[in-house]
Amino acid sequence: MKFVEINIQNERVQGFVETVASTTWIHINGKTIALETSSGKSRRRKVSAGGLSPEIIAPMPGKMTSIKMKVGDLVKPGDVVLVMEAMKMEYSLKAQMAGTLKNILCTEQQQVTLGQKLAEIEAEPSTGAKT
Amino acid sequence: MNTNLPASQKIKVLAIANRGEVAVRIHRAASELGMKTVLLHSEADIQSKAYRMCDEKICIGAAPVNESYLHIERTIQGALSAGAQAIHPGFGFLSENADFAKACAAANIIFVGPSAECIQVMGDKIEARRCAVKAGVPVVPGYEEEDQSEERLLKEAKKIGFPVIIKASGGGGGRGLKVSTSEKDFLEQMRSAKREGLSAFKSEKVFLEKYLDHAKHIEFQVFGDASGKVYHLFDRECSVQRRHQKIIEESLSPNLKESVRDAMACDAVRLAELVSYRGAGTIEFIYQDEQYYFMEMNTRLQVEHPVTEEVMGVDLVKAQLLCAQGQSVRWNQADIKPTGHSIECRLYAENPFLGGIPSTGLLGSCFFPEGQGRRFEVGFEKNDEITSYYDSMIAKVIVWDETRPRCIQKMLKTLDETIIFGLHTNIPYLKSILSHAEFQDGTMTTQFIGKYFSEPLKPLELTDLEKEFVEKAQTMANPKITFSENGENEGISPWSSFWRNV
Repeated sequence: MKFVEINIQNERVQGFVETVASTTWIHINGKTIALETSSGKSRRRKVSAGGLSPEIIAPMPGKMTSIKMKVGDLVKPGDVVLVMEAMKMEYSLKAQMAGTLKNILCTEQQQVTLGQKLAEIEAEPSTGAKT
Repeated sequence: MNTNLPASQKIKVLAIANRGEVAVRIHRAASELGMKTVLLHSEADIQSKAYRMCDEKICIGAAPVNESYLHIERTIQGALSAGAQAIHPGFGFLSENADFAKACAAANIIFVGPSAECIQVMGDKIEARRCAVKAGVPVVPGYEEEDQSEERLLKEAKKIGFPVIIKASGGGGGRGLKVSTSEKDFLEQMRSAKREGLSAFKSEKVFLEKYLDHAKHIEFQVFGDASGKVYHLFDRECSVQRRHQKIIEESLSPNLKESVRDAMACDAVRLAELVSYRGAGTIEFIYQDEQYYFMEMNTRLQVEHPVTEEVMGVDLVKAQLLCAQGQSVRWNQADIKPTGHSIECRLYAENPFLGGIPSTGLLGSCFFPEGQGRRFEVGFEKNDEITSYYDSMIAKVIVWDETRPRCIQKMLKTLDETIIFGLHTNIPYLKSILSHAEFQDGTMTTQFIGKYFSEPLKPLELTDLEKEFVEKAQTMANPKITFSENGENEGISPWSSFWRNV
C-alpha cells in the first residue's frame, strides 16, 4: 500500500492506494473505495448491477440450497428465483426483470462459483420496449 | 475430563483445533505459558496467520468442515501424532461437542473445557432449562402441559402475563404463531393458532410463552477453577445481532441496574456450580423491563471474550490452560472489579452496500492502527484468502476506555484508521451502528438491527475534494488508464462501479 499526498485546491489531501488484481483500492478520510481498472470488467458489471439483467448470476461462491421456480414460470422483478448459501448465511437471488423463466442452469446442493450464470429470463415483449 | 488426570499434569504440547484469529489467540497464550503449539488445520488454511505462527502444523483434511474441523477422529489422530497432551477447541466447530470431549478422554488427551457430561447437559435445551429451574434461575415463563382446555390455557396465560406468544406445537417459520396482547383477544388468538396448527401440522396442541419484543441479550462470563470454585467476571451485552449473529459486543452492559446485575451474577454462579462447571463458560440471559430469564449456557470460550478481559484485567485463555493443567487461577472474587468500558467489533469480509454478501478472495494490504486501549485480534493478513468454506471474519477490533462514550469515540476513530484492501468489509456498517442514537444511549435491543439496519447501506458519499483525490490517485496508480472528467461517455467512470463490485 502506498501513501499518497496530493495538493487539491490548496489543501494537502492524504490517503493510501493499492492495486490488487484489477481493482484499485483507495483509503481516504476513513472511507475505502474500490475502483475497477479493467474497462471490460467494469462494463460487464454495469449490466448486472444496473437492474435489468436477463440473467441471474452467482454474486459469490457458495452452495445452491433451493430452487424456488421452474422453467416456464412467469417472474416479476423482485421474485425470489433461487436461494443460495455462503458462509453459513442464506441469500435470495431475485429476478431483476419481468418475463418467463427460460432456463435454470444449476441444481440444488450444487457448489457454484462467483459470476456463474444460474438462470435466464426471457423478457416480456411489452416491458422490453419500456427500457 | 481433566478431573481424572493428576493435578500436576503439565501441558508441553497443545493442539489447536480451530482457525483464524482464535487460533492465533490460543497460540499466544500457550506460548507465553511455555507450551509448544500444533495447529490442526484444513487444506484451505495454509495461508493464515495461525499457520505462520504455530510451532507445528498438521493438515487434517480438506476444506469442507466435515472433512477437517468437524472430523473428530482426524483431530484426535493429528493431536496424537504431534505428541500433544491437550487440545484447545476454541469456539464453534468441536468446542461444544460432547462426543469429541469423550474421544479426547479415551485417547488420554486433555480437552480444554468442561466435562463431556456438562457439555451434554447444557447443550440440551430442555435439560439446561431444567437445571436453571433447579438452581433457582428464572426462565422465560411458559406453559407446555397436556391440558389444552381453553379455561386452563387462559389461566396459564394470565399467570405468564401479557403479551403472550401462542405457538402451535408442530409450528415453525411463523406458521401457527400468534401474539395475544391482552386477556380480551386471547381466546380468539388461541383458537386461530389451534386452527392453523390443525390444518398445517394436524395437531391442535399449543404452547404458551411470555412474549419478549424489546429484550436485550446480556450474558455472564463464569469460570470454574480447577479447585472447583466458580467465579464470575461480570457481564457483556450482545444485543447488536443480525440473524442471531453477534456483530458488536461490549462489557459491561450499559444501563443495567446494579441490583439486577448482582442478582444475575449470583444466579449465573449458582447454575455453574450446580453442574460442577470447569473452565470458561457463558450464561446467556434475555433481559426486558428489569426482568431477566435464562436462555442458554455456552460451554466454551466466547468470540467476545476480549471485552471481558479488557475490563477485568484477566487472560481467559491462559486461565483455561492453567485450569486444564489442574492449576488454580488464584483469583479472589471480591477483588474482581470491572474498570472502564470495552467494545468489540467483528470485522467481516462482506459488502455492506450489497446487504452484507460475503466478499471472498485474496486480502490486499491491511493496516491496524495501534494505540492506547486498542487491541486487534487478527486472523488473516495480506495475500491470505477468505474462502466461502468458513465464516468471513478477518479480525476483531477491541477498544478500552474509561467511559462508554469515549469508548465509542475511540472505536469510530480506530475503524476510520483501519485499512483493509483487496476485499470489502463491514467497516462502514459498523460505523453506522456505532453512530446510531439508540446504540449511543445504550437502549438497543435484539430488534435493533432488524429495525434500523435491515437494508443495504446507502452508497458512500464523497466530498468534491475526496472525489478529486480518488481520481488523481487512481491515475497515479494506473498511469496507462485515463478517463474523461465525467467518465460516462467512455463507460468506465470510476464512479459507476466503485461500490457495486463484489
